[in-house]
Amino acid sequence: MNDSLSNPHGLSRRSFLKTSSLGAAAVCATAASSTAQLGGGFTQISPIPVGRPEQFLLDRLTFGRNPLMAQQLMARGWTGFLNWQLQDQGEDPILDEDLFSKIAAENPVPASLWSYSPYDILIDPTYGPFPGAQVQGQAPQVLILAGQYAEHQLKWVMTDFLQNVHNTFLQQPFAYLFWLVYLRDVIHANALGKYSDLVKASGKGASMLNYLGQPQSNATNPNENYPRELLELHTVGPLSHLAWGSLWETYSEADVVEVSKILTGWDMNVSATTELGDFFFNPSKHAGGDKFVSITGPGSAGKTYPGVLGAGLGEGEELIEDLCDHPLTALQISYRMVQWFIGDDVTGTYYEPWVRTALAFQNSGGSLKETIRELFNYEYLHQIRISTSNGTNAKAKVRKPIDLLIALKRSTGAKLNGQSASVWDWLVQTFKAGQIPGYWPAPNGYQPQNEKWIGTLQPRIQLLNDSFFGDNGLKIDNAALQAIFPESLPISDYARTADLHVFGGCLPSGEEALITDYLVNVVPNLPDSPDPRRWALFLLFASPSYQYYC
Amino acid sequence: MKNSEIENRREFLSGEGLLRATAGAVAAGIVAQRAVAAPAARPGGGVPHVLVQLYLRGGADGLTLCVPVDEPNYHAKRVETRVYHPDDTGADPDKKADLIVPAIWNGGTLERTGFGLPPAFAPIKPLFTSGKLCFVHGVGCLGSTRSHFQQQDFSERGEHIGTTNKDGLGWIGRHLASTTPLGSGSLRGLGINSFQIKSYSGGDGVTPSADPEGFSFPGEASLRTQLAAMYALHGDPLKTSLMNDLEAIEKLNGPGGVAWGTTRTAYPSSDLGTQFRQAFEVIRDVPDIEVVTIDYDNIAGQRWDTHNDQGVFQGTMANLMADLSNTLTAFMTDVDTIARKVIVLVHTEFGRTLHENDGLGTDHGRGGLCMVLGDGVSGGRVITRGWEGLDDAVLDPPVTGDLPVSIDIRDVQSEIAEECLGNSTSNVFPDETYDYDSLGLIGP
Repeated sequence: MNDSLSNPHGLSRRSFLKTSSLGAAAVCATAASSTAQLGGGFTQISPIPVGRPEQFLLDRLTFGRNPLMAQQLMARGWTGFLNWQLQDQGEDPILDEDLFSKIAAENPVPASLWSYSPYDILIDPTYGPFPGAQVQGQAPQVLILAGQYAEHQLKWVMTDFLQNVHNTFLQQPFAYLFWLVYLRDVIHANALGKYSDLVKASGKGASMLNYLGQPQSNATNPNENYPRELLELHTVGPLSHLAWGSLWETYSEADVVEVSKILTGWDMNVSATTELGDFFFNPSKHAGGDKFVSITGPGSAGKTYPGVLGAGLGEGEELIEDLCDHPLTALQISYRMVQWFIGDDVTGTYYEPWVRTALAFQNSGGSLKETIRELFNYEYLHQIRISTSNGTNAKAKVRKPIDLLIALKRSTGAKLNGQSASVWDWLVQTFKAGQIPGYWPAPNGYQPQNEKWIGTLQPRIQLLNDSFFGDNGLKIDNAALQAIFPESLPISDYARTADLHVFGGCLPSGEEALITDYLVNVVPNLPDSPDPRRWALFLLFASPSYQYYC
Repeated sequence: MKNSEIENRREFLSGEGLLRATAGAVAAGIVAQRAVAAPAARPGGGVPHVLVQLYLRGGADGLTLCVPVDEPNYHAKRVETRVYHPDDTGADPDKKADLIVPAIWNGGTLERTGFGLPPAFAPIKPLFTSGKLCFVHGVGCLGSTRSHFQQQDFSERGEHIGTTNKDGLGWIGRHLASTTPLGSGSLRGLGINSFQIKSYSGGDGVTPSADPEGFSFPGEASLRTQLAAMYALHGDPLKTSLMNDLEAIEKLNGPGGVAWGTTRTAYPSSDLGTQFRQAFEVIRDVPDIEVVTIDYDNIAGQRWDTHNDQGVFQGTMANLMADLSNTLTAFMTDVDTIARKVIVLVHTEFGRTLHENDGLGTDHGRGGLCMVLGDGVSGGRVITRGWEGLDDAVLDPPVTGDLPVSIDIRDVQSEIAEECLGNSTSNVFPDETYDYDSLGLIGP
């Protein structure tokens, strides 16, 4: 094995920056070899000292542990589970009848919402004259409920991640018409596909077009809004990097102007017909003439996009392909993935995962599937966990509020009570906790850094409390509690049982002891004869360790 | 607060308390404490102002908020979205500026433009004329980026664009970390947000809450005790976070806490109006609060990032400006009724392009606008540094560009830190390459 793999810190940042592209390729080849040698289960590897390895994966590839996922992971092993989640999944799970019926039972919305047709929503009489607010409340539930019920969790986890990379704002005027179809047909449909396909679909998506105003752009004074975010957030990013043995300069302000010209003419149908929101290229708005972008082309030395009559749409599509091929895009997307899934210290502790993931992105032509496969390469994540077992990795990633909520629903089978008013109340509470899909106003989406979320304990604990004991629209059935806690189980074992069920045994013994102490000595004396099973789960979810991924 | 209570808190934060006693006893002692003592003075100075930072996220257009009405290039490049000069006899009266600073002419030469307010922002004029408000034009971060997120990051870190965040701190965080708390050390800063903003990074005693009125803790006191014990065992940063929350709850909503909904002045019913009403009530009722921050992203989905349909007279900016001016007016009216001094900094990440685009919006520009309001502000002025007009030659870049950055945002922040917060520039902006240059914002 390569030394740099047995000691991930052996490949320092400085040494990497000196590494030639040949050296970088060697790292990549070694990684591929290591993956092949694994051949499946994590049981082949020595135990990981912090937490449980399967929980590490479940916390990242899924929205939370449930019996099916735990069973599948134990049966398939780390690599087998990863492959299972990465395989082609056929029909969109959100259209699956079973999933659909579960969602509809919890979230009583008109059928037009499930048709994903902007026009159907627009003319649905049940929404009355002001449908926006209702749809704005209902649409985010789709991601939450799909996250709870979908079997192919990874695709929805990636949908959540990529929806934030390609964020659109659900509260913007008219956004309610387009956000859900964007989530399904643009983000989810491409969540494990080729990244450039996603970027092109995003740019043509009515939700993005409406959000960043590209249809208002014209040849004379183009709007720079979408073009700038295409460069900064969706592809190459704002910073130059030294990687692959070369210094890669990022875009200039002149590039923003030129890219804005290239993308003029990207338009959408705004007629009140079944074609509402459909993309079309409008040649009358397109800026003619040659455009020069300084960072694309062979060797990223610059490229002219000739203004050929009748080929205006092709200019933009070619530009996006070129941008997605650029090493800076590989670095940016992999940076965001490492930060989202693994930990914040990307340029330090997680430097090697970042670079290796970027190489996987680059070498696979922007395949998100291969990028994820490398990101979750068991062997070197295992090495990092060992090397930081008493340090940063044990508290590497704080759960975002949505992660916490969906995990609660998955592990307890909690359902919304089907009352629209309650659904809205629950959403407002979720908002106070800091996160609702589609409600981040700026194009950069919700951010995953720990410092954003560490200070938000009070609304989390309030939300958990109301979910377990209050009347916030969420129901946790006694039947589910009975399935988790056998009747014969003594209360002194409840904390351990809750930990194994929800957290895979990752709860430190000290916290478990304090929960047990509370269940045994305090809960019986609380008013209204509280159910200790609910208290066990509530305290587990509210525990400090559970605020982090395992 | 008694010294023993401070010691208890320190012990708790260090985990030593947990070793010396049962978890329950320690935590119960802490959550029961309530700090109501008058704020202490900074060494060598008086009681500092409360800082209220309002961040207009998205890049608010300074050239609309405070219009340089005599600049020919402004009128030439904002054909459809300009605010007309008040003396323009051919203009629609509803599209004329309300003059706040007259032009300076030397013979037939314009030495400095006059400035005016657009109709939707005119309600803020009384604050300006009474000397409680000044505008600062041409403010921004040095460097060339026009990215929202980089500019926000650098302006909140208080570092030069292109530098790395050496200490990982925000400018308010550095201020809090380098000063003695005025009271118990909890709720030194309140962010009326659902997450922590970068400005606070590194600051002790900061609590973000989107709903300070509902900021409470569920269940019996025993639950607080047990969770406090669990978090103490787990260690930082969650331990401190929970500690801050528990103490903040006591200050905001415990016995003798904030009397919510009791302002004399009516605030707009918008989110911003509610946030400023809450800010005032916290400042009024929590004696040792030091900073309140508010982000202003949008009103009903309409954002400051006005790439399309800027809506100067009707629409996006008109709605935002009306909400902003009415809210600040209500807030400053209430602030006049309390003894505590308050300084308000309103800023944004950059200005917008001088020229409008085909969508009748403006794109990301360079020099932006700050507003400073409060006690001791040298108000009634539009402060610039080396304002050379908006002729093609002075734009950034020349001819096609925009109002340049002539004032480092840190000069505004530094002056507030030095003159109002009892701190020093070297503490708040340790960057050795930065030299503070006073703008005279504060003073007679």
